[in-house]
Amino acid sequence: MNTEREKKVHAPLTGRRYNSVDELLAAESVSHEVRSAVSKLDMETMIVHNLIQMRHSAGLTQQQLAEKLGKTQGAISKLESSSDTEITLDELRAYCQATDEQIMLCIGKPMNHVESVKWHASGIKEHLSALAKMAHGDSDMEQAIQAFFGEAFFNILTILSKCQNEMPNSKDVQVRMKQIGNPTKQQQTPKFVGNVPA
Amino acid sequence: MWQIEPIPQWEKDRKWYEKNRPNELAAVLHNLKRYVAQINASPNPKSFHAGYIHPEPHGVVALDQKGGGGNLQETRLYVFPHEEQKVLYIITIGNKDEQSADVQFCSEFVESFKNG
Repeated sequence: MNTEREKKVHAPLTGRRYNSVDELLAAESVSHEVRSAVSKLDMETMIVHNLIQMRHSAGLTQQQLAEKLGKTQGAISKLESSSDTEITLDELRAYCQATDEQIMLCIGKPMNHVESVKWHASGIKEHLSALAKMAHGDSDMEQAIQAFFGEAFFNILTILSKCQNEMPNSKDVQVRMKQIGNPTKQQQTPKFVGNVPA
Repeated sequence: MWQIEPIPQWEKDRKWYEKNRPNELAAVLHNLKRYVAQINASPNPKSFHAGYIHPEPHGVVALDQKGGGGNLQETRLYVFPHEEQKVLYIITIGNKDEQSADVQFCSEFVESFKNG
């Protein structure tokens, strides 16, 4: 194999411009082997990449973040150059506190769609239940949460009916909601809030 | 949003590295992605630092292979962020032994470029 390299020479510019490195790699026909290796390295720095994005979203430079965390800019630079395996939970917590952001880490086999729906449903139940507990003993809070429950109920049904309508041979499902108010309070005139658009 | 323009020398280097040093090429391209993400998010491309970024004369920046795994030859991808045009020129790739000649090559590129 000839591994000698030719002398470097200046030549007119190509004029070919790309909006991202991925676009460049695809358009310049970089080999599949190299592109796969780049993707693998990207996967190994996904958390670090997110930390950098969090810092940028918070409008902080490395120096400003370092001051908030009582560290040096060099320490932030080192962290942002590292791979995910080198990041500690303490560092994740520090970035969240300094940027006022939150992150969720999912490690392991990705959930399939059914598992994911069940997981989210469980989360919705947990939060609605917590809201219901907050409604006890505070009539203003109870009214606000009751209104929110109605809104959430309608939205969930709307989502379900839209997805149902995407099914093959589906019959058009419509969600209609009638506002009847709180039966223990003065009865309001019932009215239809809305139909689901086809 | 920055655009990326490879110059003809980079195309030759890329083909050579693909054939002879694919892991080193992947490592510097990965760091190029990280660098581009940083300059896209930052108002000033000089306001951040990273272990894989090395400032060179005439505004040229060298990105090394760090983070690409062990046993990689020291490799540098030379780029020039043209702040007015918002174009990142990819100039050349080389190893440690070629560093001095590569920096000279990049300086000539930037100078000729600035002189029109």
